[in-house]
Amino acid sequence: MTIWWLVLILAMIGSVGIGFIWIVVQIRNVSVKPHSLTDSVQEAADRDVEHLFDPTFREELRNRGRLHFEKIIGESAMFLQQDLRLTTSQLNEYMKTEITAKLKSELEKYEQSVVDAKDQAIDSIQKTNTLIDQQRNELSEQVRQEIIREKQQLIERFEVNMADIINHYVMAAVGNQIDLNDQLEYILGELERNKETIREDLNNGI
Amino acid sequence: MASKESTVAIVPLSIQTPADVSRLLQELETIENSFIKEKAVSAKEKVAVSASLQAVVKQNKLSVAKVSDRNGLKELLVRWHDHAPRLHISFSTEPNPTFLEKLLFWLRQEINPEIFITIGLQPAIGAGCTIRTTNKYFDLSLRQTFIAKRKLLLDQLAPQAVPEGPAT
Repeated sequence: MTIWWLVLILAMIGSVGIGFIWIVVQIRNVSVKPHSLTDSVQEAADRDVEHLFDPTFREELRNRGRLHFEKIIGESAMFLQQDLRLTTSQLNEYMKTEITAKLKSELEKYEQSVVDAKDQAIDSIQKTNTLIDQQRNELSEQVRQEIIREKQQLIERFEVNMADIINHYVMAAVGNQIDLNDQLEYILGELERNKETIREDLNNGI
Repeated sequence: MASKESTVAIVPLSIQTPADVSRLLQELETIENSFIKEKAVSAKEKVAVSASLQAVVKQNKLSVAKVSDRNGLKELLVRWHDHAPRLHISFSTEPNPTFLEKLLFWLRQEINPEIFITIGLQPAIGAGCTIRTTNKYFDLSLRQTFIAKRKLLLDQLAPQAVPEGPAT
């Protein structure tokens, strides 16, 4: 920023110098005219001028011009400095506002992206939980069905072999306490039930 | 004696198996041989008759001293041996003679008065017995009774064995 201001100041100083040189050239052009009446008059005037504007006076004028120029330059520099300060202040304010707005915008975007990411994560977790619950329920159902099937098989197996199981149990439990004499009544009862069949078979077989 | 062949003879309870009849036949053969070799009077005094044969002779009102009775007895024994109905009965343990006599008494009273039995052993039966006739097999074991009364057992066991239904 400082370099730009320095360049600006130098440019202004250069333009003021060029203006001063142009004034001097114009003054000289006025003094170099062709000789005529007018020229004579002009020359007379020039002499008067030369008489009036002698080197001392010119030097004084030059000094006054230089002072005026310096004054103008100083005022210009002062105004320029004020402008610069004002511009800097405005620029700072502008930059502050812009940066704040930009930061706010970026923060809002960042916050929004964080919220989106959080929502996505929550959604993903919820889906995962739902899936896990579903799989757990399916697995529980399968295990339950398997247990029921196993139990049913055991019951069916027990039912099929129940007579053997109970017979084995009875004989193991009280088998040594049941004498054949104790079984006579049972055996005779069973024979009584099959009496006719036995008799018929024996008669047919003889 | 010829009339006795057509009628049913009394079989003593001590004569239970065809093997017993075979032994009686053998004994009767021996007695017959003794009578042939010796004179009848002296043979009558010398011949020793087993308790089983004596029971047969006594219950059927015969006499081993008479030739006709001996012939009749032989025919009777041959008939028993060759044509009497037989039952093969299996028990889980060896039955004692008293039990067999009671069983045979019932069989001869209810099935056939000239029936004979052979005894088998099947420890797997448990309680009861199995009977094999000429053409049939009767399982009178406790196991078979349980099978026959399976529904009753199931009805008793079902309330405790009902599987859990699906949760509602």
